[in-house]
Amino acid sequence: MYDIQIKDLQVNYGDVVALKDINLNVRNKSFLGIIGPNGGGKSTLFKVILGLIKPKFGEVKIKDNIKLGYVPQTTSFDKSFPILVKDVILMGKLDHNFKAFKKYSKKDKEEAVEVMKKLDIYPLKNRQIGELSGGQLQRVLIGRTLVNNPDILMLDEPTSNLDSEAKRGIFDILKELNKNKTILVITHDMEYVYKYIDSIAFVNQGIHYHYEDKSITEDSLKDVYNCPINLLLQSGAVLKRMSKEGEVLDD
Amino acid sequence: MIEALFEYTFLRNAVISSLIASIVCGIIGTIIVEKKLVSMSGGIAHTSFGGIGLGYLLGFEPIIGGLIFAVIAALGISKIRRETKTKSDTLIGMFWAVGMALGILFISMSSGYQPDMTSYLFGDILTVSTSYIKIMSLLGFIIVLIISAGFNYWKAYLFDEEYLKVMGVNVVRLEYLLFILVSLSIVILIKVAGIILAIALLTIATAISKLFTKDLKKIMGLSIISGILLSFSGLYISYTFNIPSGSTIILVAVTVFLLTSLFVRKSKLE
Repeated sequence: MYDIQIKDLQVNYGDVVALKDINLNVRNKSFLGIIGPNGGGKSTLFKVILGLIKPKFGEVKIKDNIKLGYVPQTTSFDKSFPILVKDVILMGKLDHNFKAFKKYSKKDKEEAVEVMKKLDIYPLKNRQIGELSGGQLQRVLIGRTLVNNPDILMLDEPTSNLDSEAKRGIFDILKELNKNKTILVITHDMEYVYKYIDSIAFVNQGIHYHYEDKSITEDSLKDVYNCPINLLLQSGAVLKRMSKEGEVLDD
Repeated sequence: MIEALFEYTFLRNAVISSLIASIVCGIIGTIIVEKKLVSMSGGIAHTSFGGIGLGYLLGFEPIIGGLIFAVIAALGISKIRRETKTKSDTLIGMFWAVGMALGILFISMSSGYQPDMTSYLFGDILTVSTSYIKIMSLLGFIIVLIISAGFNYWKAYLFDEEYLKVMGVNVVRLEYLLFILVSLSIVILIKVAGIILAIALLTIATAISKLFTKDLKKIMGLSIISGILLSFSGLYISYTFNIPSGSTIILVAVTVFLLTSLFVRKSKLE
């Protein structure tokens, strides 16, 4: 049984088709990299998996008793908001059923401390989030999800706007977490990610999925898309053309 | 002024109402500043003028009309924005103007004695009645209760609504509730500072507190304390020099904000 099974999925925003004919099976403890141009539907795919958007056709099956964890893009909130690192982590512990005067329990707090130590952000616990570097902030967001101990971790561009050392740092953390968790990561940082992932999906309205078991290299990706990866990712127009060729290659 | 405080009910009411207003402003003001709902709140406040006018026309307590219009405006803006994807900025502008227009129309239609509307527009803290104090206390209590009961949820909602949605929390319900609370606060503030000045009262204390701390709860606490000090000193000055209370409180507050921010910036540079 796969962790996530997506069958003949289609998602529309009004008249616009965002995703079409998506078939994807995510194995347990796989490390899936999701690439594709901006506006190609990567984040939409995540939202469907998370149940935030209802598909028009098709279905998304999540294995029973499995917990999803989601790390959004850092642009979805205001970094100057007066909240401390420890409070962001604890936010993950909120119950979705509203409980009046709910305080975080001692256990919640201990787990938060544990997660912060694991991610090397414990010394920053009383910092306001705007006072963190990009890499540190990303760790905080990962921590907020991790405190719930999810089985599947889904990250939306966790390394955008980070320097190369911080990018590697984040991917190293993910690799470590991959030992007992399934990881799905949307990214444009192919030059880093190919060393970590074991499968890759190219999403641009449709999907091309490759499971090549550790044999993914920058070169093999180049072969698939027939041009250097960086160039590929920078230009949506190139991507569209390439994806068509990719289709041929795929078949 | 202290002896007068014991002697005259109107002065005592003024002090109590500025106390309640400061508590409400400290909490709701911080929320609207952090959630960037300041112009939304301005819209709600001005729309309530329509209800006040309607109260005069039909002969019921104008402030109840104001409350109803404020709530309708808050929920209306939120719902229309959600369903038509119109920019809330545009909607706020429309509600704002329509509320004022209706207010003026209703008042001109009311027969006989034309009321003086300046006390609603600019506030008149010295005319706060004992029954109004009761309404204020009740609304203030509701606001404090709802915010403190779900504080961790509110904090998460203000910070990262999207994530809360992913966690399965009903964010739309929180938004409606928050907008209703903003409407209640504005009604509380109408007598103290008036429709036009209410926004200043909601934002200045928070702006001052934000200079000193980066913790949401502390910003609220500090805003309440500074709100009390500012409104009391404003009240004192207006009483002593016999000048309008709402304007005095706000000018005192802004002056303190400017001086504090200069001082804080200077000490940071050193």
